[in-house]
Amino acid sequence: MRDTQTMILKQIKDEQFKLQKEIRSWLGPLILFSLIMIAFPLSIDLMNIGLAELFLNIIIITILVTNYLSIDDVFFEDFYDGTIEQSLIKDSNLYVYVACKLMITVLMKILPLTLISIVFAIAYKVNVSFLPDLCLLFINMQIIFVNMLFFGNAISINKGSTLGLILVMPIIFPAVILFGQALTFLRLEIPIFSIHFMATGISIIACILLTFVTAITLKLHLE
Amino acid sequence: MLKNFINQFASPKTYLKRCDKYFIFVFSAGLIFLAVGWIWGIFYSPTDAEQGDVYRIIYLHVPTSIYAQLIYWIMAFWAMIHLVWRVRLAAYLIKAAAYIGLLSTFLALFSGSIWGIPTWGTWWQWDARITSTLILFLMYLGLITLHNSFNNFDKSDRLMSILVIVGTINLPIIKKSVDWWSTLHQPASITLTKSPSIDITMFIPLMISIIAFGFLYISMGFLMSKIIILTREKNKTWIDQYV
Repeated sequence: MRDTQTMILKQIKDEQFKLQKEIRSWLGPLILFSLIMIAFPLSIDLMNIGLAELFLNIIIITILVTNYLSIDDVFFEDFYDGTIEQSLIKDSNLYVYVACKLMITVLMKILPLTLISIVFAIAYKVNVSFLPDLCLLFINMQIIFVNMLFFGNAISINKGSTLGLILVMPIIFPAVILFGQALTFLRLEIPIFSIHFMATGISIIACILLTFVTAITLKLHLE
Repeated sequence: MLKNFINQFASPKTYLKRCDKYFIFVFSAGLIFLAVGWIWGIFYSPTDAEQGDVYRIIYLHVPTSIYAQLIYWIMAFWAMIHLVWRVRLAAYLIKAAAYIGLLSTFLALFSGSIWGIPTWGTWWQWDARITSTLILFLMYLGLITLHNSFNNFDKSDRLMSILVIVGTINLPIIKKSVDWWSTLHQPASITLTKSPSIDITMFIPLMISIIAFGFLYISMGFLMSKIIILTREKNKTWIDQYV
């Protein structure tokens, strides 16, 4: 038990160190997100559409694209330099490896992106009472997206992340529809507690099950 | 006995012989049922009070929609068999079914679009059922793309099986989309738990069409799987004897 804990902590530290060194992979998407959010109101005649409405219309797709860019080839380097193989030899399954990578992605990519989204929500003059709901929605949404994108990257590890994206997009679309509905309800000031519960449940299940499936898929590539 | 059954089923050679034996019967049954169902439905069923004669596209649209989803469930079943028991034939059948599912989904979307023009005034609407059926179409396309992008067939078979199983989460959403969301698409006319909401004179030819499409898709499955087996097993000695 103690060995497992030590191993997990070490894995998390390694992932955090790697990601910290690869500034491009976590800072780049955040900068791109900011650029898109700044550019959108500049490209539209703001006399005809409110800023808050615009924010709610574009945020889901912008976050999805940003997540895709930040997870681009997430396993590629580890696959080719033998890190995944080493993890498999050490642990006989890759669940811990994928789970640690997911945890670091949540801490270093999802949470900063959520914070920046909230900052832009305020800048876009979204109703302040929506902010807690938006924060929770964005976190759940990104956890689901990131899990699916991890799986997509695992499937197409040596064929490019675009193939993985194409494969998992049909499965991501229902999540996009769900969160779109949530934002519509928010706009109409309808309470969305049930959607929060459902989204939280789905993201927990996604974290557990999809991590397992991603680990199996990575193992398949090594066999 | 189960093990013998699985071993027998798992043999591509035995399966090919069965395909050859049953293909003509299944295909003929499909054609006969289709002729009966469509002639009855198109020429002898009464005209609908609201939609007129336009509703008769139901005899193409409903069977293809039903099978678009059913084929995916069947693929998921074979994917389980392939992943658990490593039955090679199951992988071949998944690939064959993917092409048929793609065709069925395309026909469902196409016939739905044609039906939509006179009834809804539009050939496309981003409503729940239509969008989720489009998602299903993209899933089939993705599966075929995935399988064709790897040179190592064993790996691509297993990856495809994994993706099929993960994709099954979409099927209840597609099925229930007309109930969960207020959509332009009408609710299901035929359900397992309630009596059909359409008249019996329209319902019977519809059921005959559904059975016909079932037979036709099975015969197409025989053909597709035969092609896949002959391609994948071409280096085996029994293929020379078979051909």
